[in-house]
Amino acid sequence: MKKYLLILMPFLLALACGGGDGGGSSSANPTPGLQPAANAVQISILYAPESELYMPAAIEQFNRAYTEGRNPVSGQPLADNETPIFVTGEPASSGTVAQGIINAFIAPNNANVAKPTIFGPSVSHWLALVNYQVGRQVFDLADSPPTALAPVVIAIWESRLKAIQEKNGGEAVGWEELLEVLNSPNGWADYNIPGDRTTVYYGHTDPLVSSTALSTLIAEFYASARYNGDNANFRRLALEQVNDPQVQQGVRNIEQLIRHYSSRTTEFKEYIAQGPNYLDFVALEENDLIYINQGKTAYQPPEKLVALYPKEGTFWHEHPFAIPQADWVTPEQRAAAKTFTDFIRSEPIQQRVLESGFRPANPQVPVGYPIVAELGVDPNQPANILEVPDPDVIAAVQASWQYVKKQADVLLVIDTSGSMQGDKIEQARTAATAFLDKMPAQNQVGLVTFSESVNTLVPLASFEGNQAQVRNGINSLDAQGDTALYDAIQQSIEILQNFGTGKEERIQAIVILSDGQDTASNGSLQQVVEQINLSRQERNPVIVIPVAYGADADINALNAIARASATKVQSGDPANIQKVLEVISSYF
Amino acid sequence: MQQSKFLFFAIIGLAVVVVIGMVLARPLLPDQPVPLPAAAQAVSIRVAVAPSIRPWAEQAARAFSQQEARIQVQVVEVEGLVPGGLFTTNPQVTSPAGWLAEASFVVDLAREEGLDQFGAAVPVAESALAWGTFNDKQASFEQVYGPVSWDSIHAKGTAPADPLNLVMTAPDNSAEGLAVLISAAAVPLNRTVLSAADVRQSEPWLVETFQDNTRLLPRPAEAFATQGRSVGDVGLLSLVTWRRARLPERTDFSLTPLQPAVVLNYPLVTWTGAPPAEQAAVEAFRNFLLSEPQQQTLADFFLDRPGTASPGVQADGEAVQALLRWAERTLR
Repeated sequence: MKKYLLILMPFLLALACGGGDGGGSSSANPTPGLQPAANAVQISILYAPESELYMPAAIEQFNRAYTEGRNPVSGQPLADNETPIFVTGEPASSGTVAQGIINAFIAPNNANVAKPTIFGPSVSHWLALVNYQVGRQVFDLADSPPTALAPVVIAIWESRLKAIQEKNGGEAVGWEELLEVLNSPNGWADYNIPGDRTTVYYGHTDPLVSSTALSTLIAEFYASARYNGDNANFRRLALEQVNDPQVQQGVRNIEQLIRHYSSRTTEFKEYIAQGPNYLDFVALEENDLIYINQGKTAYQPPEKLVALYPKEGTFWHEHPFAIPQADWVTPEQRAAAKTFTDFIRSEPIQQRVLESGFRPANPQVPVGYPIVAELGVDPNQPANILEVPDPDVIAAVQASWQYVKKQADVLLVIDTSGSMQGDKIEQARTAATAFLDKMPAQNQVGLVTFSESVNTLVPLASFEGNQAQVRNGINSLDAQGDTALYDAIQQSIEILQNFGTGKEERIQAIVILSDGQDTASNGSLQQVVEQINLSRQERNPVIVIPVAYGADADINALNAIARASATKVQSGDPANIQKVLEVISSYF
Repeated sequence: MQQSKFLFFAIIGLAVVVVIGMVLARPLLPDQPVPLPAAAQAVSIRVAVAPSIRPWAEQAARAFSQQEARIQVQVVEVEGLVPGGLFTTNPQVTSPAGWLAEASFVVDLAREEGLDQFGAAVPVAESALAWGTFNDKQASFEQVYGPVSWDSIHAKGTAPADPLNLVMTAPDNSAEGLAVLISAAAVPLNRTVLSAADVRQSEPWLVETFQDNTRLLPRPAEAFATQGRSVGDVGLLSLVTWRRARLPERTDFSLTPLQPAVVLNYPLVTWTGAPPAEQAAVEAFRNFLLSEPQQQTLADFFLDRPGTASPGVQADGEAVQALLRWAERTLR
């Protein structure tokens, strides 16, 4: 009997229970601190520098949730089989990372190799470019969701935009109208803008590394193809349009508005914040413009900057999160990367994204402050968006850059007075060499030194031809004697003003590296300032970029020179002078 | 001993009566679990699910697995239109036991492409398609071309110097995009059932309407919601997609039902290559999805009940395949 009852017992128990609960979960023990748990899936993200406003805090919140035993997306305790995730991340220029990922596939021994689990560029152009350059689908663009949105805008002073709108009867404004200012005989004066400057100052970053610049350059090609090409009503920019000499000339004309370039958006944010004397307009992501108008830059803008959404069209930067199809990403990491993406797209984080000046990528979070007119932006714009061209077209646009960019005449002027002896001149030589390493061959470069007198060591000429001469000149620098700083600047301005034909279409710049007070000039600081002011009235003024080298540099004099030239003094010392000159080299 | 035997058979008899009674009574009780097929042992099944219905399917799978201790349902999201990589006759690879597809025509397409081991397509939810546009854009469109319809869209698509920007999902990886093409292909022929020959006949009209006028986006409704008017003139998506992006709640945005209608009917099909116990478990899960409590939750996930809209056009697998090939050649 017992035997039979034992056989029946499970059956009877099952009957009595009427089924059972197959589910069930338990919470994992929280882990103190923010070190990854031993069993954590570790992933890395390289994100666009603009995301720095919210990304580090979001990463910390994500990691903290796991160390406390919660799922960061649901907020629920971790399930038994749920593996914690630990994210590390850092900001990096989209173009640099894209090249690093390309190198990981085709040139793994290159110094720039990037192997992130998530690549978060500002715009998906870079993902398409990686796919194109590698020759296979490294990134699935359809599976790279947006995490923050920002249209690319022209940040322009409100007074200047109003002046243009008044002149064109309130019609929409775009590249066409901006070019009209440049081509107007008296420049801004014809638009009732006071001041003696006739030319236009425009700036954008380097399209080989910067998303904003790449989008801006593509937008310039679109605009030029509409005005200069065979078909004004085309939908998507094509290869033949990019290669059309007339279209390229149109882009070159737009680039004539350029005052100088830079590799870093931060540089332009700080520059334009100084006021209309420094730049009239600059290509930025909308959130950068909001940042300036919120007074977050070192300089407080003297008037409001407003977003011009060009009538010819612009691009959305959608900050996609893309996971490479690569052997360095395991299936577990891929799943973890998707969880982190869901977290960044969740409502609480998207609220923070909005507070940082981006438009939320999650439709559940409505657009609100700071996307408001008081901060210079229009939540109902942009109205006209350009189609993202095919990757081969984007690559062709990038390749055209060296031909369409505004070229430069650059005089490198180096103090070789006695105070430069020792480590200073040694580091200056290294830094100047690094400066030349980044200099495009199409530019014209000259080398001037000064101590008690001014010597043109290498005359201004095509850098392609005189590169060896300039490098030899730098290697032979020797420090001795007094400091004829003012004479050096005056003579350098004259060299540029008297230099050959076509200088109207080139950036004319003096980069002067000085470590001390003027002790030997015939001229005075006032004369230098007057000469610079006179140059500012010309169609293509000479730009003087002073570098204060070391603690003894005459910062007051250099500031006066920078103010007159509407630039700013760059400060360096033997430890960082190379980096300073590398940044300046990206201006050209 | 005789007594023990009697007691034993009495208990057995009682148990059988109770079991039979419970089995018979269960369907009559509104909130009771649906009947299970006879399955002696616990079964764990994977069900491949289209992304647009995944949230609903996941909560249902959790509820079902809790309710039916012997069946555990794991939801696997399908990437792409047809889950060719998931379902296979290769004995080395274990296929999911079921597929909750976006539409019956996608299952037909899968069969056309060689995945012919799917059982009957039984719809468990539904979502019709609708045009969506910002009111001001719609007003200016209607002023020139009349109410939004395939005829007016075609008129703008063929108008010189007035480019059309029709936003949809890519037909090669979404049933939504394919549904758009099925509806459009029926227009020039005025058909309600499409064959591959009909598709070929409609191609010139499709080219005029779509080529150079179409913007294919991975998340179009989300783009309309977050990027506003700049996204395009008009979008053509399923109601579930529009609703999920909260666009119908906006006062500046309007939806217009697509005519002729093509419906995403979300059939759950069994993979007949799976073991019988797993197939039975899929059927049990399907019954659970069709049970009243689960059907009531559809609205929470922006879906409708099966049969809410009448499909205006049906297309067989061959016709759908022809449309897919056309889209691959023509649309970017």
